[in-house]
Amino acid sequence: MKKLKYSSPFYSRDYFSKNILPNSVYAGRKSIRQQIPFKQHDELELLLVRRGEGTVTVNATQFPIRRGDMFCFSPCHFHKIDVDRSGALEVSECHINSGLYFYITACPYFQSTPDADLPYPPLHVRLDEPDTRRTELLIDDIAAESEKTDVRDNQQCFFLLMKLFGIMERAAEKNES
Amino acid sequence: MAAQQKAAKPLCGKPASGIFSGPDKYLHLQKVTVRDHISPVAEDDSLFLYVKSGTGFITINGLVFELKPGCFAWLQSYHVFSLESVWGESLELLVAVYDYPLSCYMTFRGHTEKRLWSFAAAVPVYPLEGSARNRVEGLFREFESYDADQDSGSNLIKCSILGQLSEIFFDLCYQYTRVHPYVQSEWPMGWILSLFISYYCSEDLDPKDVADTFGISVATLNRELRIITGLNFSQSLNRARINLAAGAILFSELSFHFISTYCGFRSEVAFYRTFKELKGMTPQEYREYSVTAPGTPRKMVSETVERILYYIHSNYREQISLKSMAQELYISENIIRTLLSNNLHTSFKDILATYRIRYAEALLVVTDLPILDISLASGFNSERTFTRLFKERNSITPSAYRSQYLGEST
Repeated sequence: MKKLKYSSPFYSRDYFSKNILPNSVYAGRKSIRQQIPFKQHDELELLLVRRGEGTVTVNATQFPIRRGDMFCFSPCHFHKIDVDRSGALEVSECHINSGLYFYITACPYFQSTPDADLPYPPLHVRLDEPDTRRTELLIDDIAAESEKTDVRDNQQCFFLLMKLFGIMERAAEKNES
Repeated sequence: MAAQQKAAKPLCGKPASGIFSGPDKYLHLQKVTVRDHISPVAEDDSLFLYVKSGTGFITINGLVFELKPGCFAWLQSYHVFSLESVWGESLELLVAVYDYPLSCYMTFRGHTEKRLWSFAAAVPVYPLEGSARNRVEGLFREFESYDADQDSGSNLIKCSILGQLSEIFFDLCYQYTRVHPYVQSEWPMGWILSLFISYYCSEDLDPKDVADTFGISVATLNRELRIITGLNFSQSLNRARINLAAGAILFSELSFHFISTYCGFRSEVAFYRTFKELKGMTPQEYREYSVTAPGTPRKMVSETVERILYYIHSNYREQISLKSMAQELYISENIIRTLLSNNLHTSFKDILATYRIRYAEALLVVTDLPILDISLASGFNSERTFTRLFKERNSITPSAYRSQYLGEST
């Protein structure tokens, strides 16, 4: 009998070729003691404020920030962070490739087609306390996962990122209503 | 780790479907209580099953596994299973559907063949203890907490939880195959046959060839399959193929001709006929139905669209055109045009201009660069094109935009 090929949907054949999207992820937490001047980068940045108060300036708009504030910056958002006199600002941040963002929005149950648009104006949400705690832990997990480079192709990391976007999307919808 | 097995029941009736899966059950946690017996079921989607309380048995393709609190199972479309509780007890189960289009999307980023083999060579039910059990139970609880919400965000969270469950399960399979490398030889012939058919269904399978591969006659092949799944060879094969096709149909740009060949049908007519027989609707109807299904509509976006978006997005500040992109991505210009207008209702030019103008808007308010420099830095060829497009979109000239914003901030 001739050699057979898989046809399980788990293993998609050439048509759904693998790894078309670059998937570098960087996540971590840091404390900010002084102003960070305007910067812009090609990746998407998710920023969660863990502690302290200050101001984020995106292009020409200012947002006062405190614990639970979360932002998503796309490449057209130049952003600057100012710290209040009260002291250090502690944030968690997560940088993902825009290709990965497009891929996440293409989820079959995500009720919109992938956005040709990256979030614009800057997506800003205020999370409630349980969600803030959940997100803190989530970003810490992503940081731990993204450092691994084993055979799993960071599958777990992808799932966690998906959850992170889910939490943000939920909060955005809640804020709207 | 070894699943307890007892002698298989002699015969399996014709399996029912649609008990645990179906459009209204996607992304929902079902709480099922088995008081007596649930007769054979074969679903078109895969199911995660977790035993909350009670004890009982599950018969999967002729193998019997004991169920007790903490048991975690992942049932596939090629599993025909029946549930049974221990007499006088009720078996409480949590069931979540993990449909194949979703799992295809989630694992798009690649499973190694090794992992797939360990998945095929392992059993589908695992009794969990300790931290693994807490983790799985925690994930099911989290899934339940989002159960009532149907918005996009909650859907993403629920998909992520399903993905994590599958990841845990793959690890369990891998450990199992390490501990029991030769367990497959003890499995009934029917178990191996249904696995074989499901894995190779897109090939041109002939009952004679398959029977020869396993050293049995065609009559034995059919009998073995019917005993454990209630379906004969061609019924099993058609079911597997139609299932594969149902996933592929959700990619709206795939033609039915391609799908029928991809799924192993010899002719498109045979594909249409079999599809209608098993799903009760034609492929076209199915495609429309799943996009607009009440409750949880699903839609698959092609990888090509993703690649196009990613390319524009990473190069918008360069001198790119539809032609140069088509050459770089090995996709024809016409296909790009059609894909963008069908999927995103927009054109290459529009997306490109949007990105460039947004970037320019940011530069206008953040820097004090002259307008000419800004237009070149954002990828425009000249200041005139930039100003024209900018005015079209914002109905204001770039310099007026700048002074408006700077005036505000001072």
